[in-house]
Amino acid sequence: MKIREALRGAFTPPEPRNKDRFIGSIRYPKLSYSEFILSQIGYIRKRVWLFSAAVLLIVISAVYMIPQNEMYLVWIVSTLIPFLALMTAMEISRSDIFGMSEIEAGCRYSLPQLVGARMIILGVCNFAVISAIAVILGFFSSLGMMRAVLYILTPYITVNGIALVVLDKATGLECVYINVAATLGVILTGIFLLGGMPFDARFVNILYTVLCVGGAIVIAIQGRKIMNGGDVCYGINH
Amino acid sequence: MNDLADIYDKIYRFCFYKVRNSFVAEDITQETFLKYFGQQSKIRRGQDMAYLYTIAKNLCVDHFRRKQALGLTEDYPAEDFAEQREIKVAVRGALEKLDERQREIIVLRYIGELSVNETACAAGISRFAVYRLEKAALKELKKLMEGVL
Repeated sequence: MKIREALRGAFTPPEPRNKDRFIGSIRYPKLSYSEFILSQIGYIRKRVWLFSAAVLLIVISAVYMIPQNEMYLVWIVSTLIPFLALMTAMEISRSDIFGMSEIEAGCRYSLPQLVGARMIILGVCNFAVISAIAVILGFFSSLGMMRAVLYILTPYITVNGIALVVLDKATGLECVYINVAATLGVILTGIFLLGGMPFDARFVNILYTVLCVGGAIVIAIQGRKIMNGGDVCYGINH
Repeated sequence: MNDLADIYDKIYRFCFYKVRNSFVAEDITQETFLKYFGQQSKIRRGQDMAYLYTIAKNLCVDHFRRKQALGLTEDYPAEDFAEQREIKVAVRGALEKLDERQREIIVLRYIGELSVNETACAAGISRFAVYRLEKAALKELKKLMEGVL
C-alpha cells in the first residue's frame, strides 16, 4: 500500500493555474439527447431486464406447452403483465421511494430529465415485450390480435396508472406496499374476469377498453406531472 | 463539467510526469484538449481516454525535441518538505529502473489514475496483461525501494 501512495505522491504537480478558465472557455459539443437517454440504460436495474425477458420466455413456453387452452394462456399472461408494470413504475420512481430525489435533482441532469429518460427506455422495452406477446397470442389463439392486445395491455396500463397515482400521493416504502396490493388486486380482477368467465365476453371487452383508456389518461396526466415537477431544470447541454 | 475537470487533472498529472515542469505540463494539457476537440465531439471513458493520452504523449515528445532551446527546470509543489522530496526522488529513480512497458503501466495506473480498462485501452493491451504487468512492476518497485519506505 505504501508503494502505491508513494507513486501517487511522487509526481504530484503544483495546482494547475489556468484550469477553470480553460474549461470555462473551451468550446466543445456535449452529450446529445439520444446519447443521454442511452446512457441511462446502465442505471436501470438488471432485474427489470431479466423480468421482462422472463415474462417473454414464459409466454413462449406456455404457447408450446398448453396450446389447447387459449384462455388459460391469456390468464397466465395477464397475471404476469401487471408485475412488469409494477417493476416499471417502481424503477421510474426509485429516486423518490428511497429519498434520493433531492440529491438527484442537484446532479448533472435534473430529476425530471432522468425520470423522463428512464420512462422512455422502459416504455420502449415494455412496448417491445407486450407487442411480441400480443403477436404470439394473436397468432397462436383464436382470440384475434385486437382482443389479445386488449387483454394484455389493460392490466399493464391499469397497474401503471394506479402505481403512478400512488407514487404521487404516498411516500417512501408505503408506495411499495400500496402498489403491490394494487397489483395483486388487478391480477385477481383479471383472473376473475378472464379465468372464470362468468360474464359475457362483450361486457369484459367493454370493461377492459374503458380501463385501458382510463389508465392511459391517468398515465399521461401523472407523466406530465412528473416531467414538470422538478424545481431545478438545468437543461441538457447541446 | 466535473468530468472534464477530472480528465484535465489526469492529463495534467501525466504531462507533468513526462515533462517535469508545471507550466509546460499545463500548456501541453490544454493543447491536448484543443487537438482532441478539433477532431472529436466528446470524451467518453475507455477508448477516447486512450486517445487523449496518446495526443498528450506525442505532444510531450514534441516538447522534448524543443526542450534544449527552452532550457526549463523541474518544479515541485511549494508545500513540499525536504523529506518528501527525498522520497519523491527515490520513487522517481526506482521508476526509471523499471522496463519501459512496466513503467508505462505504472504511470497510467498511479500517476494518470486510470482504471484497468482505460489503461488497457491506452496501452493497447488486454486487461489481463495490465494486471500482470502491474503486479510485476509493483513487486520490482518494492524491491528497489526497500529501506526508503
